[in-house]
Amino acid sequence: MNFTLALTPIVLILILMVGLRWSAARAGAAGYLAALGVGIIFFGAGRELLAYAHVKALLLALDVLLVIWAAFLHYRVADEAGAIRTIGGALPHLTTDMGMQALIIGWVFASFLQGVGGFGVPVAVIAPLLVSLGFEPLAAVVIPSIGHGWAVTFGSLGSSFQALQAATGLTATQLAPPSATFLGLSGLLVGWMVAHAATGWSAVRRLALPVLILGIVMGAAQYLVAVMGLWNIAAFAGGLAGLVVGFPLARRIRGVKQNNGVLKIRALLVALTGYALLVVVILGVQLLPAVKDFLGQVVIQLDFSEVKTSLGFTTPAGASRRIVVFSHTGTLLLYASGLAYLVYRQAGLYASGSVKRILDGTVRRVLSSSVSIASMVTMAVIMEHAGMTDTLARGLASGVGYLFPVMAPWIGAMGAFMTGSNTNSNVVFGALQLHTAEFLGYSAAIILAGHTAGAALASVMAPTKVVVGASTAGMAGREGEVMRKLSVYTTLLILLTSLLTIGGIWLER
Amino acid sequence: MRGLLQWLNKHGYEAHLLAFFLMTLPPALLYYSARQGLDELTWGLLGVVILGNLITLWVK
Repeated sequence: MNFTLALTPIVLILILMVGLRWSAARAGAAGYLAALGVGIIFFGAGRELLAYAHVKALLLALDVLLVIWAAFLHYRVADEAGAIRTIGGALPHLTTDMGMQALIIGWVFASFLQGVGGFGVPVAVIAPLLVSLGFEPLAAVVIPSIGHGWAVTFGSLGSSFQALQAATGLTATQLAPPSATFLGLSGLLVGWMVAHAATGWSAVRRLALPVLILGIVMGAAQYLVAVMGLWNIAAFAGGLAGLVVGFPLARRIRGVKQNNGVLKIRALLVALTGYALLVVVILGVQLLPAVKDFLGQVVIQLDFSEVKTSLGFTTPAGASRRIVVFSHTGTLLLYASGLAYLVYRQAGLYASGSVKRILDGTVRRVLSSSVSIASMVTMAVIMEHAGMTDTLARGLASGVGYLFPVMAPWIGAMGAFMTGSNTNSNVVFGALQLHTAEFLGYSAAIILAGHTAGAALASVMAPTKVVVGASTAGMAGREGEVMRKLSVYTTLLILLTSLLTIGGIWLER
Repeated sequence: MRGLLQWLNKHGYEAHLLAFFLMTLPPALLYYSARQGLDELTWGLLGVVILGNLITLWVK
């Protein structure tokens, strides 16, 4: 009975989003109200417990939202200057081979865009670009959708990974190695899937070697940067490494010669400057102790007393998550956005009123996501403090038992599909996966890596993303076709993640 | 009431902005009210967060 009650908010979100097509913000609010009601009536959550849960949720949400807001601001600064169009426009100059174009634009460039932007940007930018190159609209949506999935966890400048750490309390040092390994290996399979979606099995065979080279380079770059502690630029680094290697690789497979116009090298270099500055700022703060110490002086951290439900479930006293205001990833992105803006403005790339358009576009794009994250984070923290997550974890542990490592990526995938994002899935299910792994004696880091990898790979199938992709490629109303095609690729990718999770658990033992 | 719901539906952006503030501003005071044991203020602030979520629920 308690298990079913504890499950109510999650099931409610699932039904509302998938069954009734509610937005994440509306469904999140319903989930919050359900968690609050069930927590108070059936789990004995009292006034003090609820107050502290709300305060902790605010800190957790702020930690995640700062990154999301600043990441999208940086993207808007570059987009308003035309930098994204310039970089995207340079890619078709490299090759006219459709399979290779799909790899470079729909996989490598999509991963790069996911690294710096996210929020459906890769599909929205690339799908029309592929249509203009002669791809069928269905393929034009499917290719970048699958192509960017492996870069989602460390993408959007690390916002999903930040959420995973915040929701579970585990550190980047524990979580980054298995997460980057699972995603890197999945990325390799993604490459072959992109080739398959472009021109079928012939492309898979013909482009086997380029896929292998690009997959290893991007996966290795993401892994190395993530385990070095620079997880917020890991997917960006993976995408960038792919572009660096992909340029000469694409020139070797040029296809039939066509007139693609003139490639403006100077414009391309200026466009890339915004991203170079991002790397300089992040590396500068991470690698120069004096700068890090100077910026690390203002910290938000609160102490909380022990709280107990009337049923006796206890949350021990302790300090909240630390938010270091001036060296927080979100703040670093703000510095980088400011510098990129100055460079682009100096280069004369902005029309009048650009600041207003950048800020307005950012707020309008992230507001709905911010509301849903605020609701869902609060729901998750209430569930945790009321003992609902603990009840679910115990039920799951006794129900699926030794099959749990197989199930973990599918739970993550379900969370991402229903909430539309890897970040939300990490927030809603992170603590549940952690507790269940602990009950069963499995490595929490590996289970959570399987969870976030499953969530990242399935997030591409979320109805909200599919709608955006379909509309930009002129396929509005044909979303079902996109979903059907994506479901085959996504299922295979999550199956691979399940196998990797089992392998990881086996190696740990 | 019907007028309010219609307004929320027509002004999704403004409604979300209002809801976001209602959800995120009270917790700062909640910390203080919980530590001081101020029952009425705590429930009142929780009510504001609930209101923010109710508003979100009505924005289609």
